[in-house]
Amino acid sequence: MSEPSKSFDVEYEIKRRRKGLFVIAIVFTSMLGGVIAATDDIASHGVRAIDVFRIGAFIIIALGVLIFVLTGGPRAFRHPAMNDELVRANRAKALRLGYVVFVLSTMAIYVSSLFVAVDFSEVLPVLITVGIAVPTLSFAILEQNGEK
Amino acid sequence: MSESSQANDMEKVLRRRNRVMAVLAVVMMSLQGAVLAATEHVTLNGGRAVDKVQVGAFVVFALALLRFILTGGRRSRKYPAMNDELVQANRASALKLGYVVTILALIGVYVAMLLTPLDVFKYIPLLITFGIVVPALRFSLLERKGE
Repeated sequence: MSEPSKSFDVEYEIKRRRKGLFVIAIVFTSMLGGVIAATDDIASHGVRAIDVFRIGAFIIIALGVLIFVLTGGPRAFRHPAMNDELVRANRAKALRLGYVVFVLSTMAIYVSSLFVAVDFSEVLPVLITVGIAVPTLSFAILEQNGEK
Repeated sequence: MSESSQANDMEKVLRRRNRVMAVLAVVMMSLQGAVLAATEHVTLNGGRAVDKVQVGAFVVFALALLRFILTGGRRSRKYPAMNDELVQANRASALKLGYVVTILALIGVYVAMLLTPLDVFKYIPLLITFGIVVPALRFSLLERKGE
């Protein structure tokens, strides 16, 4: 393969990854309603297979997205250019934002739980979603800005 | 002031910051028992003034330590070398670890809540502590290694 087509390949993969990150973040966030309902169902009707399946899928996707954001995906191992300094800097920024948002929202939940009754079965999936979707979206946006 | 004495000063300040960060992280961990008790009192019976002060102090302390980790303290504005590339890389690594540990701990609490009856509000201050102490200690450790 000649040099220009190689670089085109990497660019294409990076663009694909960025789009994938957007889609994954949106899909992951859209699962929230189902997960909260499943958590409520377990609390009220006991454990049913369908609820376990929904929550299990949520957790597996959460862990998958987390690994994807942390490593840059399986193709980043094959193409070192997909994990260059700029990508690493963008990832560090995204994780920093995710960390700050996550810790601050946990604190906000903690303080509000002292004054009003908070249903943690609803709040915990929201916190997990915020904690994972924020750095994913932020990473995708930073990568998009870098492409321009 | 000579170059070497300035460098010595800087090293001293850096070393002091690392020590202070590690000590603050340990202090925050040691507050856990009191904060858990205060949280329980406030949630169950409205709480006494002292419980509210304890909880408030914990939150303020957590925010201050968070800011300290993110910015490196006030002196890093005065000395740009206190916020150089190595420090930034160490901070990024510490925050990454803190983020991963906290998210995984939260997922753990969520799964445990589904399997056993759990007072989740007791675990929230613990999560906050994890989320702040882990990067503080990691940052301090990495900076110490760099020395």
